[in-house]
Amino acid sequence: MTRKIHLEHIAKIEGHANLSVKIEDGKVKKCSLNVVEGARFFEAIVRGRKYDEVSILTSRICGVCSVIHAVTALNAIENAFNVKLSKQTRLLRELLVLGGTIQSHVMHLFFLALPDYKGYHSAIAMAEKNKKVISDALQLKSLGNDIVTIIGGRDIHPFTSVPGGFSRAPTEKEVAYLLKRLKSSRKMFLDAVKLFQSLRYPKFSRETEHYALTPAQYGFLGGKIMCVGKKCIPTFTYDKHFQEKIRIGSTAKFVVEAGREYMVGALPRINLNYDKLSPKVKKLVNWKRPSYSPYLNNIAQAIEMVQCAERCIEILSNNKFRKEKLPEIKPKAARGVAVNEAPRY
Amino acid sequence: MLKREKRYRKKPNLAIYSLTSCAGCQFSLLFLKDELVDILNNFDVVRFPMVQEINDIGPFDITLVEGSVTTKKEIKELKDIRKKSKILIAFGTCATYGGIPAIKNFLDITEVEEEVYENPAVIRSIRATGISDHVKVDYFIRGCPAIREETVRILKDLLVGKRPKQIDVPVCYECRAKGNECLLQKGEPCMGPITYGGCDAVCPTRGIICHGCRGPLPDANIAMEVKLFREYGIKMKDIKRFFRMFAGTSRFFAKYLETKK
Repeated sequence: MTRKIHLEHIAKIEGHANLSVKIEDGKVKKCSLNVVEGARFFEAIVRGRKYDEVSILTSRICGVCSVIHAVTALNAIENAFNVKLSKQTRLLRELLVLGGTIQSHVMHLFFLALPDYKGYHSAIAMAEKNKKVISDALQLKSLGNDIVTIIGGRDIHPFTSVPGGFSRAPTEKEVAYLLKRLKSSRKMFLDAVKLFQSLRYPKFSRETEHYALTPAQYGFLGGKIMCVGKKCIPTFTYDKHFQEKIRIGSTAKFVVEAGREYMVGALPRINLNYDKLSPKVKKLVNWKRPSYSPYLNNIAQAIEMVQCAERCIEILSNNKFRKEKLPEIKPKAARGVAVNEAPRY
Repeated sequence: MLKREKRYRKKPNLAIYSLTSCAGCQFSLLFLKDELVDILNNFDVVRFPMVQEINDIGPFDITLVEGSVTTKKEIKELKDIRKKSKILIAFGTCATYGGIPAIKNFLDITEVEEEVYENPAVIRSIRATGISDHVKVDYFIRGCPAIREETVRILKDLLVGKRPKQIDVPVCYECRAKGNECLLQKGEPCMGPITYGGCDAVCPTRGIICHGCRGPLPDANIAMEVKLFREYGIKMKDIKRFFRMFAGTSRFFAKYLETKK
């Protein structure tokens, strides 16, 4: 007997996707996920733009993780023009990206994932019986937003980060405010880890290629492209290794490495960079690495939030920020490549 | 309260739809703080697929549509949404003007498609526009992303049976009130004078020129702005590029931008 399941517009994801499953005699024969939203042609619309307009456009790739799309475009342009970044700019960029990662992880964990595990149709519907959890989620979300707003000017599509630096630096008052918020949220971040560790996940594990960047310290910006158990891929020639494939019916492209699909995100990052986590955060990782259960990605995201918050506290406590003059930029014809980690669901 | 009773016997229901977009405007709703609770207390959010499993198919009292129209399927969907919505609101710059996805309208479409897709046959993309090109729109919430204070104000006005007012001052109005140094006078191509205010001049306040994400005011003196940019030594092709960032499809720019279909 053949059964077909077709879901139009899967709920609780960012974007539009359809799922079709074909089942024959109780066995899944075919399962396909198609992204059906309209194409926006970012690769083409950035052509012919002035170098300082590109990050404004790429930011709009995604409203949930706009930070990383903007910062990566800036990095690529800076690399092409050999722009040297000051220590302060590097730290502010890192803060911005850490804040953006917290934003995105909170959104995914509490608003998209958690209601499914708890048997509710939405986080809003959960609120009545799980007041503390949802109130924590809202506070963590606003903390992520505050970091991005203070450093980047706005919580969605931040704009103060420009080629070479920032148009403004956070004031002492703003730094003190963020530090206070971060320190008082420590327990909430740890509670989030406990919460996601306490959920019941299906037992499923299948060896997958896990790719992540390996910067000098645990983070999201730069570093070598590594895969669990494989040699590293040089950033500059990344496009020789990763190919975008088109599938009929899907406007989103599928990326493969040597013809094989792979996974990126929090779990691959922790699998590859466990040693770089701070000692306190390491203790939270309670599985044998590398693990290939995709469900662990939720716990990995919750753990990453702790790491992000601690790193924010470290940067904000140890540095003074002042308005810096932007370096002079000499545009020229050149190729620039930057590879960074998007938060990813 | 009396007016509200008159207008809605029970909580009005609210639906959120998303066309081609980054979902940032929908997110701006979730990023509300106390007002989110107010909205949830005063509206029945019956359709919000990004965050809830159970979603009504209509009819709706108020519908917010985010994103630009870029496929024929979306036109069909949009017409259906219009039919079942008493009040239809364009939510954000993409829904109002076509936004960033509409930049392609001004480029050679074959080149654009071939740049991105090896086999452009898989893409059935049409000219990107705001939703008012296809259906009657009752209100516009501009901005990339939508300004949440404006979203809340319009929803509150509708709740009490008041006609929401359109902001009719430029970005400069709020920028000057803040006592900011004028970037335009410094010789930077700021679009503040011709752009809808209401954003609290968020960019110029932080030292970044206005890129016109809220679109041009109907009575904006665009000719004067162009003249000034020209005096700054900015070439006409660069001015066109500025105008074609967020609201290139606006008819107020039409005189300055020839449109390729």
